[in-house]
Amino acid sequence: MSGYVEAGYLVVTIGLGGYAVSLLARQRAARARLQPRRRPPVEERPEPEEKR
Amino acid sequence: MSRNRLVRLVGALGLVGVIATYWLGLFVTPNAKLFGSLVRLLYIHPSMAWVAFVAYGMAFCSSLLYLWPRTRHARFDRLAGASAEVGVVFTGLTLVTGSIWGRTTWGVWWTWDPLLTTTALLFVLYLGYLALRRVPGDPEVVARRSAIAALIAFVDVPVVYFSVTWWRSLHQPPTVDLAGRHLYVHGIMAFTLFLSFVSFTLVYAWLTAHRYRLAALSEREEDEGLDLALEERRAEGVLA
Repeated sequence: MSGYVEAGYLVVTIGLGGYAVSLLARQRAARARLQPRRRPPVEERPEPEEKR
Repeated sequence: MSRNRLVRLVGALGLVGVIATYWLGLFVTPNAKLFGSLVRLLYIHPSMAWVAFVAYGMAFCSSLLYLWPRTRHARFDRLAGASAEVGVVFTGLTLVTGSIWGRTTWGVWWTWDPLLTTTALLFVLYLGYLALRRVPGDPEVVARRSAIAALIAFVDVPVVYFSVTWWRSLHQPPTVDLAGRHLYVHGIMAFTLFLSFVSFTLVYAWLTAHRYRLAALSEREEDEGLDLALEERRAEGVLA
């Protein structure tokens, strides 16, 4: 098979796959940025005792 | 069925379809008499162009619905932006796969052929559209001018499709002649081509749904950020 054919399929796979992954990652980051704003303030927990 | 499940189902079907297309296209379909194994590019290149047309068609319809006062809603603006961005990705892939085809059949990576030139113009037009969407301003004004830009940019879509018949072109006529209702391939080759069209269209739908969600999340983030800033200002006593 011609290397050009393989290159064509590779370009499509990397192009669409890369775009899909970037969309999912950006979505996840946006959700992560939104969540802390909605969470009630976290109460300060007492620090664990030092182990001796 | 919930919207999330539907999007997942579309994505799964698209992925399975693309894998089947690759398998049929690379290992099952026969070589062509004229082009040899290069004919296998046929199962990815025209479908990239087809999906780009579908994406721009969707952006056109959504923009029209946004501009129409009775149907004006932010979701149509969001859908137009999402669809156009996915369309730009597919147009880029059309240009690259077309360039690979050109190198092997015409001996050049690029030539100023009417089809190639109008496709490159389409790519640049929609890149401009996406840039226009990012220009800061009142959201309604930005959405309105973006919608008008999408309508103007869409004029190039039929020009790209008919360029091979309107002008003398190096490019062969379309493999799927929608106007003449004629298909230039048969049997397993036609099936693989059809499968690639359906599969990549499903991939487009999945990508657009996710891009739409991302746009909605970004808008919510901006709104909440604005509310937070206003609250802080109020607390500082700057605002009444």
